[in-house]
Amino acid sequence: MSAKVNSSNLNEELGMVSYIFSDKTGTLTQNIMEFQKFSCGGVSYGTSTPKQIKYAPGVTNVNFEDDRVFEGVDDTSHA
Amino acid sequence: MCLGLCHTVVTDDKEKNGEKYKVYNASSPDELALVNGMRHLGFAFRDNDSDANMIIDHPRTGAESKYTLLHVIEFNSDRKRMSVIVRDENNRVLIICKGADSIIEKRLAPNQEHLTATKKHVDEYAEVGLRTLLIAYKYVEEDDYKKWLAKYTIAEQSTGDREKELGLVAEQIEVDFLLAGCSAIEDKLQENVGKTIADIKKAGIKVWVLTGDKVETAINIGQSC
Repeated sequence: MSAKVNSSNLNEELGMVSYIFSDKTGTLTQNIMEFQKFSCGGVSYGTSTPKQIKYAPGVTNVNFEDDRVFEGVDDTSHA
Repeated sequence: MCLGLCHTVVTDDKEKNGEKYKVYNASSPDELALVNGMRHLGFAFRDNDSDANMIIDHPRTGAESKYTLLHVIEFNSDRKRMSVIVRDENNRVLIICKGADSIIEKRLAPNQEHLTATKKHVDEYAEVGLRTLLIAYKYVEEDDYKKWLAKYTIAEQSTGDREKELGLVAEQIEVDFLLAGCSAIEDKLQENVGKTIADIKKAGIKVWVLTGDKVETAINIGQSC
């Protein structure tokens, strides 16, 4: 981590900090969501390690593969 | 799949290498991922047409389904859920709701067949750090819808605390849902978060994380930092 400190007060103030309250989404994480799994009718779909998947143009933020819902996927991608 | 409808995504036409395609724009990154996910699964949200119809294409069969958008009941941090009310091609009123599992579960009709299995999946997803949402729906009788609409219209025109009043009326229709399922979305850690937090801890500073996600999701994110 590189940071440039422009104020000498900052060191003293930092020294007084004992707690940091951090937001999670978008601060610790990227706030870039990726659709990976779903459950429907009591069955979970989506493998945990998707292979290289072909997505239709314009489809973003998806990382999903499951042979059970992808029968005929080639028809879809060419449609 | 209900998720193709329950959103406020708008589309943009793009063209690349002579191939025309749509990209989605969403105010919420979660919705962007969900609606794209549904598109990938063969429920491609096409657009809202000029008559406020939401159109879903089914590229595999070439069919399309049309839903007239009646209302969007927005998400807020109190409600922890959002709903859309649409009219389907058979003229039936359908409400679809997505939200935090703890909230949706309380709004389900009793004895949902797949609730136990779905809850197990939600926990599994959350334990590996995924963000989860439950999705539920129900068809509303025309008479019930009309009665509810009258109350909703009054609330919409309220000059007082409109958001609160709308919330109270919304709550009346967001009950007795049937469980559709749940979704799982990953939000990756920023680069070097782990190292940064380790440095901060070395400096003797305690770190608290604030989140609206499930506890299990937060614990996993905490551990992976």
